[in-house]
Amino acid sequence: MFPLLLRRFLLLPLLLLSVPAWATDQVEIGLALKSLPLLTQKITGSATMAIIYDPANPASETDARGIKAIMDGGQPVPGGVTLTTKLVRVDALKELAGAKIGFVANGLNAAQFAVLNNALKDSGMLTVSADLNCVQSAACIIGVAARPSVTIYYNHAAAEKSGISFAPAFIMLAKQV
Amino acid sequence: MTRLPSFLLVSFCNLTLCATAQAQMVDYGSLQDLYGGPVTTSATGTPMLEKDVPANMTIITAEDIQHSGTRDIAKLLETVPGIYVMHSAAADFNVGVRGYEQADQPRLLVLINGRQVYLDDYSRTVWANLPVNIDDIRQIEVVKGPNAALFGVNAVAGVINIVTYNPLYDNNNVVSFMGGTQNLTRGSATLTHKLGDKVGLKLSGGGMRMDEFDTERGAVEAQRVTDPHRYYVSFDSLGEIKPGMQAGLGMDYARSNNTYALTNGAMSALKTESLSVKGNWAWQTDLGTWKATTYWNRYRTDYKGLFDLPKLAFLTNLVAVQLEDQFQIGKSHTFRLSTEYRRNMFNFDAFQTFAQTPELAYNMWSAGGMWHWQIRDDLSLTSAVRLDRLSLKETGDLWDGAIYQKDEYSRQLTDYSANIGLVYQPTHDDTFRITFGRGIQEPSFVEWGINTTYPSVASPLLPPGTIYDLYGNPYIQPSVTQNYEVGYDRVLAPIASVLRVSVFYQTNDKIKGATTGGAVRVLPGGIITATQAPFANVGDSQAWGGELQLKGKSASGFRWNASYSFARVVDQQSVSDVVHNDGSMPRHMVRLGGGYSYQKWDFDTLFSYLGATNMLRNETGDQTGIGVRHTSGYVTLSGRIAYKLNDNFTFAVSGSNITSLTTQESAFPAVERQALVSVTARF
Repeated sequence: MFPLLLRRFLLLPLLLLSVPAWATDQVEIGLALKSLPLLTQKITGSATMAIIYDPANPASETDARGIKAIMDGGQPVPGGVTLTTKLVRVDALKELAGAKIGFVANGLNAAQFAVLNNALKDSGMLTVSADLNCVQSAACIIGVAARPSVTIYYNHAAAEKSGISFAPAFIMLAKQV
Repeated sequence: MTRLPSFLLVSFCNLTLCATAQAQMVDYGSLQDLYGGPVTTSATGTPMLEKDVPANMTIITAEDIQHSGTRDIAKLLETVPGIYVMHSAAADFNVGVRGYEQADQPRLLVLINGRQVYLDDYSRTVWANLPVNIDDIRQIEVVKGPNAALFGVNAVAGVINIVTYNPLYDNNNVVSFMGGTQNLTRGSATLTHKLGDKVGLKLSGGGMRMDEFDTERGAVEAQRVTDPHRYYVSFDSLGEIKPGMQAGLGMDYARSNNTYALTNGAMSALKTESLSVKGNWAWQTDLGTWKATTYWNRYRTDYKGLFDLPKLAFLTNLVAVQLEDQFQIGKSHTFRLSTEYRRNMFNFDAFQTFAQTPELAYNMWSAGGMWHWQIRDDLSLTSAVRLDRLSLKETGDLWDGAIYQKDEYSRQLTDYSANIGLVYQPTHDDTFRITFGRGIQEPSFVEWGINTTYPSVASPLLPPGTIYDLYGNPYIQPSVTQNYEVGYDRVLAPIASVLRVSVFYQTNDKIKGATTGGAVRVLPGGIITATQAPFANVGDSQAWGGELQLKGKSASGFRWNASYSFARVVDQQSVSDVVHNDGSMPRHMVRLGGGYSYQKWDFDTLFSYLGATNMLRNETGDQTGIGVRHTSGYVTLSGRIAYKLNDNFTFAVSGSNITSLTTQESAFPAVERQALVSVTARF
């Protein structure tokens, strides 16, 4: 009886507390991937997904490693695309070269978003995050929220800067930032 | 992580025109995967989730269709609250909406991918003739109430828009075989082929054959029934000419034969042959998205036993050309400007006692505008108006004794339709919807200008040799339907459900109907005619009611769809005497659907209670047999059990009216129990 109570009333809350409330979860990653078929220039074959994080923020790094674990754990990618993941520090954005997707972990600050925004120029890279500050600051092209209902945010300026575009139907259903 | 406050959602195209999305350019499948629910473009032209549509729309998804077990498209609609499907013969259905039902139901706009598939002779839909494979349907959009300004002419009681898989974006390959009671055999196939990633081709075909119900009917009617069968083939294509520009071409052919309920409550064998060719083109430009659609519909319907004629066939030819431009100004304003031209012709292949070759035709020009204003993040207003200018003309030759002269058919009618919808979403879980609709139901070709002369059957009331002559009424006016409605949707996350409530009040003015009686005339030369010109505007009618629905599914595999609907119709006495809307469909309808998926098994069932009806019925086929028949309320149970052998093959057993051998569902002959076994292969 005691172990059961311990699990239910003590360990489980502690476990939940150990995971940041804003950690990117599998549903949000799935939403980001489901937007790929709606790109005008579709990603095909094999591509690299860079997971961008703030090395000075342990929570950000934890989130990034969590995203990578989910992706490497066999997260399905629509359209038969094979994604290879790599972690990229926000202070080493040169390593983004060749990446088609930049998944921005939670925990970056405004200055880092500005740096990322500069790196977007003509990159042809789709940046996406569950941190909506990233979309608001035009460092991310799309933002995903799974709760309370599925909402996609879209930053047209960021998309233009990166040089990518989505199907009009996708844009019209998204909340445009 | 933070949510964006709404004031930070700024426009990316302030004061500029932005391209929008046209239906054919929309990858419905990817959007549905992304949002976890069906997406529609049909109401406003812009993609919307079901809850955001400024009209009372229910979307029946491919998954719903699969679980239903039925292979009749009309039967699928009965899970929508407020919809009643009268099953008047083995392959004959009429779809009533919110209290108004009749055989030859003329008040629905039925579309396949935006192309009209109702017949202009009676403005009715021959469901057995639809050239579509049920396994190729992505979704069916059911819109209740008049929505002519948003969808087009004849959208009076509602709109049924059948959306099939897109040959460019979807890869639907499916073959299905089925057998069952009533000696039913049915087969269908859809094959999709891509030429690179820019062109998609799709070919569908199928057939069905079964025995007509063997339930009790009069001797006269028994001679007219026929065993139903149907064959169809459909081709669809879509290609990307260049980025942002697509064009498509399609062609459908269908032939059906079935026992059919007529507008006067009698039954006849009806053979229907339809041919359609369609082309469409869409182009995204800086001045919005332009779309052009043109199609040609040719229908021929042959009756057996109608008016005791040795031969009577109606032929309609419709050419429709539609052009529209949809654009955004800023983030908040979406506009659609549209124009349509319709050339519609109606003539007969019929025995005529007096030599004549009537051919009625009209040209219709329409102009419409739609404005969708996203006032705030949680509030939107959609307004639409459509103006129709119709010029009617008799282009054939009429016999000298005809009661209407040729020039009397030269008429011009100008009418407008309008729709307004206010949608308020104060939270993610709550949607309030207030709508108004005004729709125009133009007279059908038969009501306007049927012209037949034929010998009478032996009658004690008429001298031997009397000639019948039957006329439409060139002076008949369009009916006008206005609908006022309030709706509320609530997401109930703890039970994974959506609760939908709606109440409505509707007026129907200048209702059209066929009166009985006629006049005996003695023509020069002593020829006696029994002249009938029955079609007229017979009066007004009102209806009110509401619907309540709880629908959802759990992660553990359960799904449910429970609904109650009520509709009360009050006819003027003159309407009740002729059309009899009041009681034409059940006032109370309760439906309880449930299902469960476990590993490779699916179990689904639907229980229905439908209240009593008082319908027009004519067992003898002549005017002496017309009367209102009472049918008591009844319950039915249907169900499906399916087993997925692997990713490709599914075996299923399904049944309807399971609990009794026959069920008296309407004033027409009782419906038999049906059981089906099917195998479906997807690859």
